[in-house]
Amino acid sequence: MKNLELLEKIRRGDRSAFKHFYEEYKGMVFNVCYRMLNDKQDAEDATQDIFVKAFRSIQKFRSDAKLSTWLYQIAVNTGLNYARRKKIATWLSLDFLVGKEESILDNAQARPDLKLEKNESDALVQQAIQSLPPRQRTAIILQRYEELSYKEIAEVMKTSLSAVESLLHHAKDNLTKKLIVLLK
Amino acid sequence: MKHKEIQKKLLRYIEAELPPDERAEVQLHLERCEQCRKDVQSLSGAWNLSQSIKQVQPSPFLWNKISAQLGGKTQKGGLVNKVRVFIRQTARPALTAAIVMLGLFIGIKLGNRLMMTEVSSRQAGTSLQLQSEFGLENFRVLSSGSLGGELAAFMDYENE
Repeated sequence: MKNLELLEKIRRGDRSAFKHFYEEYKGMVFNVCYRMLNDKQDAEDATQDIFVKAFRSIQKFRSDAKLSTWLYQIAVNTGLNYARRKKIATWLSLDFLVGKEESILDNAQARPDLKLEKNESDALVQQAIQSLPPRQRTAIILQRYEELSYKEIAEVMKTSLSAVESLLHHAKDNLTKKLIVLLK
Repeated sequence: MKHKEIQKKLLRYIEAELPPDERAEVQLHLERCEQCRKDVQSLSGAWNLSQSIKQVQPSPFLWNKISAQLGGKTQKGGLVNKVRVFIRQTARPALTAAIVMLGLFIGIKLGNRLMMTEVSSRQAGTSLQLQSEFGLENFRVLSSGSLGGELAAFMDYENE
């Protein structure tokens, strides 16, 4: 089903069209949230919120824009809000004292098909990404895991191409510093 | 360029994103610096392995939750999710913080009370010791109307 046709059906309140839309974009939305929050349960809650927001605000969507870009914008904003709340909650619950991180073992158990080495590397890279400032984190997730071009990242983040270049440049330099420490 | 400046560019070097002059400078440094060569190896290993894990999938039941929130059970689904998120992100941490504060408050109060008891028992102990050293307990045999008898009664009152 083409996007415009799908959009029209969703606007008319067609639930099966919305399910089709969900099936097409659930991986993309969930992946962004998971990379931003580093926790499956939080990522699911955020994904639920994002699709509900998308359904309720689909009337506002301009048909000349790209549907995926619009959905990425909602996902990034919701993900950042959740990350902010999570940071406050972690601080309040004193979890940072016991170092409650998504463990490598959690990942390995969730994905037994993957070797532990792969999961270890992913967990370390994830940990380093989590420590980046929000905008650098967003840019690197969109480039690395979503494989968006600089132009698309600029559209999602509502910024200029040069700003995206600068964000990615700083994000990678910061990641290098953190990863060198984590890998030792 | 110094070692530290080179080191922070290693990921962009691996990704081939450095301008040619900077790339050449990094390459030259790598030929001489064993530490940076090791860092490049471990960094590129972790970075590339991690990139091979791309798609993570949500639970198959997520659509049911979204559908419930949007459909006839809109209010219920929405409320349940909001309450769940509120409990996990706000109420639980706030309760933990409140319990810690209460624990501190009780600890401080209990500490003060114990200190007071210790001081007063130490004072009482000193007073009894003085009475015994000066033989003042012998005054108790004197009649209550006499000066010694009144002094003994006063000492008993103080000890209580």
